[in-house]
Amino acid sequence: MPGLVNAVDAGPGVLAESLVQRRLSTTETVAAAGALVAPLVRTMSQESPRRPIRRIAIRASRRDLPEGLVHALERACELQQLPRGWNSYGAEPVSDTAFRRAIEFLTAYVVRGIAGPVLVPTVRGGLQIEWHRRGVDIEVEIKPDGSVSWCAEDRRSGEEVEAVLTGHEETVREWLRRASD
Amino acid sequence: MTSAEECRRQFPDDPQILDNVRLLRRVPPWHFVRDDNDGCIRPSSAAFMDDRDGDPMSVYRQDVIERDGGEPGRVLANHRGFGLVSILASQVRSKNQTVHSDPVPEESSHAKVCGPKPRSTRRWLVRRAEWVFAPRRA
Repeated sequence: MPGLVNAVDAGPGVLAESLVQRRLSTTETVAAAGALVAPLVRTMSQESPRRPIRRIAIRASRRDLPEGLVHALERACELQQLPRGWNSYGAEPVSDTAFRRAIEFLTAYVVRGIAGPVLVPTVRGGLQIEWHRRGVDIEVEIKPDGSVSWCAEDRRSGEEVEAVLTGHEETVREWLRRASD
Repeated sequence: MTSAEECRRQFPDDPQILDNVRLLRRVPPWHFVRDDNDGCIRPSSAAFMDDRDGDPMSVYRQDVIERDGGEPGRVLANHRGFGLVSILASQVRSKNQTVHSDPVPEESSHAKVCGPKPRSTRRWLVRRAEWVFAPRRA
């Protein structure tokens, strides 16, 4: 995809690029200059005798991306490569819609000062983003169609919340701060 | 398959599967999560979702494996890197699930756990699941 490569300025965003590329032999990842201000993720496949090669571009505008965010992006890219049946019980691969929504969520919420999450795939082609620390459990589920719901529990107080993301963005940020150092 | 009523009709609970029977569930490495609250690696709640297209969650009966003279590890054959957890039949039943024997040609101990599995139920199951074969880094 020469057009995409040419369009990218291999500048400060190289941090994200190098970390993601290191683990993904079949993925070409290109980061443009910048911190992930407005995430732009392009994926495309091309025919290959073995399996499709997917190109993922993430535009960034700063060099000092939070490490937890970089690792989460790296993990998201890794999970998107999983084939159908990855759990041995016929699971669906992660949908492009869920992947893009996850990148948007991560770049919006995993900002400096917020702990890095764990990402896991769901059997129907979604992604789940989790934090389990500081006595708090938070799970954000991104369904294959891109809809997002979340739940949180404070083990010390017993407080529990479960809701969709829309309309509760600030509450989610408050819980994430609670789970972070 | 989310309704308890549908489960009772299509995957009725098998009373011959006693409450103390251990049900085994394979956990793919992508579902191992670090839980700093408990200081351990455990399965994600995503490991207890129903299978694709609402097909009820697959498990393996430890009592059948042992009756055959086998070991629980046989259900991990050809699943490199996977872990294996167990949960009691009584525990899943207490969360409005049926336990339905469903032997398949490749595994006589195969069974289905059918019932609604909202996030609260999945998280409850995760907390009671015990590793039979834990990931090496656990």
